[in-house]
Amino acid sequence: MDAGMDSEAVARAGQPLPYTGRRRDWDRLRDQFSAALISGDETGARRVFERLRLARVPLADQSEQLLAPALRRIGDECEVGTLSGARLRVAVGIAERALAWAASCLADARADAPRALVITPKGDDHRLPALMATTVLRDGDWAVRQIEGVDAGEVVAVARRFRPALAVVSFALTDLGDPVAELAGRLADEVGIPVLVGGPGEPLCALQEQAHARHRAGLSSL
Amino acid sequence: MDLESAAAVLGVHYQTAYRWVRTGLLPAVKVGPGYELDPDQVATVAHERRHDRPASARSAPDCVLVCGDLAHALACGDDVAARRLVAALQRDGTCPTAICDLVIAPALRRLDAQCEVGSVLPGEVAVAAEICERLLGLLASPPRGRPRGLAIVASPDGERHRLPGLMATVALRADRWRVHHLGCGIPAVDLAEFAMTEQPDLVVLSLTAAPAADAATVETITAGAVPILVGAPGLSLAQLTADAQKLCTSRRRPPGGAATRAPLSSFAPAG
Repeated sequence: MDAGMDSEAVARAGQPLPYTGRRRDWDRLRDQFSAALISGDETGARRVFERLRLARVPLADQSEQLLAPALRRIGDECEVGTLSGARLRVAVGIAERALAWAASCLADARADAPRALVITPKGDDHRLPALMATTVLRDGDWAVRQIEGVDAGEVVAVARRFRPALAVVSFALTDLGDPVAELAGRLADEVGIPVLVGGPGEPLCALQEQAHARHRAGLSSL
Repeated sequence: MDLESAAAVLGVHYQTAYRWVRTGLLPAVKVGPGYELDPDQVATVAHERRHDRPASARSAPDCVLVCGDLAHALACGDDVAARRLVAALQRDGTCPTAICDLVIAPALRRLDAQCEVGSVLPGEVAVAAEICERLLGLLASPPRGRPRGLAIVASPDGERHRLPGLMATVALRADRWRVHHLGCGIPAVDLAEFAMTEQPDLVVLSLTAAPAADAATVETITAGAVPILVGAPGLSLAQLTADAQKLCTSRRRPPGGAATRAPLSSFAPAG
């Protein structure tokens, strides 16, 4: 890890910054972040994440307020042709690595932390939605494993060995409805775990609450 | 690698590298009239020179041990243990290129072998690949200071393996290249257009399954203005950085003139 963005240094940042009463200017941060992604400035993109992390902004908020809108904006520009597909790929790669860096700054999950399995269904090449879900759950003290690009049967086999308390199926393609439903059904029936399904446009902020609610419901039914 | 390549990696004159070999500062084996050097040891010396750290490179047997531990952590899906192993290597001064070449890539090969005999599930290999992708993302820090040049790393259409290309990015950034990482499945035409816009010093194509014909397509479209390196499975990242340096040096050699047209080259037999 870059010494300038050492996760240990971030963790040693100490007390949260005092609340000054000034609202965070998310529009300005989104502009900065988008500009860094489009120009391929990975250092600049990580700096935005680092500032938010040092200010103890939850990762769910960083994903919802910064990452997702910036990428939607870039995706829209790509669709209308003002940005090339290659530029979009560079931007997405930078966003993935910046998010992975932010996640590396989180404290490790406790030994008794509840387990979650985050799945990207086969046929969906978009990693970021599942990466965001994984990061948000880790920020909520879940021990998370992420899996993608494999058949439903192999996901079920992994779930049987890993024994998660919860599965989250995260997908970005709208035409994956049937495979997602099949996967969710098999996990619920064959492994007996609650399954959350998150598709395009689903808010991340509710994910932690729903995850804990499903986990508590599962515990109380024992 | 030979002494000339080692000098290119180290950023010194050939005679300087020869003096280091004669004085024992640079490990080498005399082979016939010349010397043969281990690319990983050369990469470590290059790293030490950049960061002024004492010689603390992991020896090959140490890396085998760490590789075994990493393979076990990956098989168990333990990303915390995997991250700690890699972080410990970084603190010890092991350069990211050596971490990829000697630890992560062999660990993944072990996992594949275990999957073939059925002791690891295919899904668990997929989990391990996700963990490695995050580890490589942490290793792929943008370079500090003046970059050596601009490189584009991509895997063409049809290529689904992301990790080799990401390892190439890690190695090039560790060698102070600015890198635009395009990932997998990019059509050759899009890649060529991007290369014409960005005017990189180098394009690296990472291939494990896609035909090498795409490299020729890109070379045709860019009219040979951009040197292209083509990778293949099992090849050393240290060799990649050495080849990249050579290409960069040869392009800049004619003072005040146009960049030398570099032929399509590879740090492996393509196809």
